[in-house]
Amino acid sequence: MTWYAGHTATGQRRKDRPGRGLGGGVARAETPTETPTKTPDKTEADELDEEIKRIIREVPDPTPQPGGE
Amino acid sequence: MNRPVGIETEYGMLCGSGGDDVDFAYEAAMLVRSAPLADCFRGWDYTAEDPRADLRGTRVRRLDQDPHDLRGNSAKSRNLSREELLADTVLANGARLYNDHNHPEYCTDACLSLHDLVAQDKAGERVVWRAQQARNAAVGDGSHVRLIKNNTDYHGRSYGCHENYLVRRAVPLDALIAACIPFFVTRQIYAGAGKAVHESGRSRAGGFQISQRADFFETDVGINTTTQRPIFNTRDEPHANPQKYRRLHVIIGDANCSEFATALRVGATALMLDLVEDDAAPRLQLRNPVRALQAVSRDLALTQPLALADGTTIRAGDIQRRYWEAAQRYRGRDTETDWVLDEWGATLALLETDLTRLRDRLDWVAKLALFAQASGGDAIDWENPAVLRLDLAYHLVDPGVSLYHTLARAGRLRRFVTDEAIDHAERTAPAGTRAGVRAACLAKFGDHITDMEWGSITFRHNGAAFALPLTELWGTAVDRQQRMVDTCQTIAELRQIVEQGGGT
Repeated sequence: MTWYAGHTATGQRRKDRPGRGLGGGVARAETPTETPTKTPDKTEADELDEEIKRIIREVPDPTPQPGGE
Repeated sequence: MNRPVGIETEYGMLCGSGGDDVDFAYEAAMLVRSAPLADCFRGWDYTAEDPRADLRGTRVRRLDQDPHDLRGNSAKSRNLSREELLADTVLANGARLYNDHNHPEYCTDACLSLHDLVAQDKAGERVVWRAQQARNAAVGDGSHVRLIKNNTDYHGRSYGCHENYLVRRAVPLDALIAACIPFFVTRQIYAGAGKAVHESGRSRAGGFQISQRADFFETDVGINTTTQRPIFNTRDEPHANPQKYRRLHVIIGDANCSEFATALRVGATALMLDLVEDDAAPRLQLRNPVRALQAVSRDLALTQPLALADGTTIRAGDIQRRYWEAAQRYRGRDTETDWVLDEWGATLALLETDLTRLRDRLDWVAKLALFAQASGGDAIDWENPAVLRLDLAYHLVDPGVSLYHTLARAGRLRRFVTDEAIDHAERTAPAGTRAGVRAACLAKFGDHITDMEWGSITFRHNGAAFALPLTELWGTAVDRQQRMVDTCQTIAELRQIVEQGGGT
């Protein structure tokens, strides 16, 4: 079972993976645990979490645009 | 790659706090015109273009448009001339930057290698990022406009990232369509950019899906692009010798931030087209391609059976595997082909066995991992506004607030090209193509250029006009033209050679 298994595409919570939702902001990463291109140590992971928190605070809500092609 | 390929990317725009008073046409034009560019040419000759010509041998009277997409045309943009509004610009690397359908668009010229194409695409991100900075500095507001490399406004509107592949005209159109549709429906499993919203019709609901674009496609085959979007677009504008070539205009792709995903998306598609030209493509026919496209996009476990016309079913990954197996005949052709075959196969295997490991190369998986990280591993509340902000932030071109760039800097996303290669691509046209001829003419004789289009450059010298034809995209004729322009010291010398028939 991978980390995406805790939720479904439509946002319904799976009964085998109860959770708290995204509302609390960015939490410490419990998963994924596999080795990416570069393995961050604990400090790097913390810094990345802080960076993500900062960005989510700074980025505005998306607003309507014209379609294109 | 065995053919020239280019990518056109329309960038999304966040303008201030949004609202109905935003004139997107004006903002897109002003942003493009603000771009700090050296050795560029302002203008483009559209007279040879005909987007209403159809590969099926007809010419439509008009292309359908969604009236909502004309939004934003206020007095500010209406007071601009056509040239000011389009803001057509040809860059020193042969690429184009302009206002297309009220979005800034960067269009690479055709490239002969995946390396060049990814570098040129990434160079485009830097160009528009600097344009954003210049525009915001000009108006004195650092958040006046923010550019996004994605394909949805999250409110039911989409803008495109198109790929263009040169294909031999001799290939039967029916065979091309038959091979492309199952491939395009399913390649999203590695090429999707992911998004945290469902935009079915004009309604919106929270939820994650693999593709940014799947919600916006309504038909299998057609010429329109902004409404009734087709999986296979039949626009017939080869921008090359029409007797020899078609330009396959692929409108179904997502704009990838991941360099790996861009390379795999284009590399696999180019191999699929090799199979079509060699009459070796798998024979698969989906019963309902549009329904399948949207089902795959919502199938994060990739287990959904898709109905085939013969009454059997098949999973998306297995369709891709059929193309991958057929393409093994090209193994050993060159290092890029082997890279595509290796990574395509490895990716299909990991999609089935260990999706987690793909978060360092596929956009949709990287983004899903971010959501999982942000929720602490708990179920995600897709209706939470923070979800959309996080989704949006992945695609921002500003490296300081882009989650894609944050992950890349942290070494969490694979690179396909170096920063030095992107620097080079900003200044230099893709190797071995007519873009190099265009770039050399711009650098040496730019003051004499009066018009440019894909197939020619027009110069003025001593009151007379002459044109250098650029009908071939690559090959010995282009190499000869490149040497000619490189060795000409004066515009008079170039004119003399061209008028004596030596320019082709």
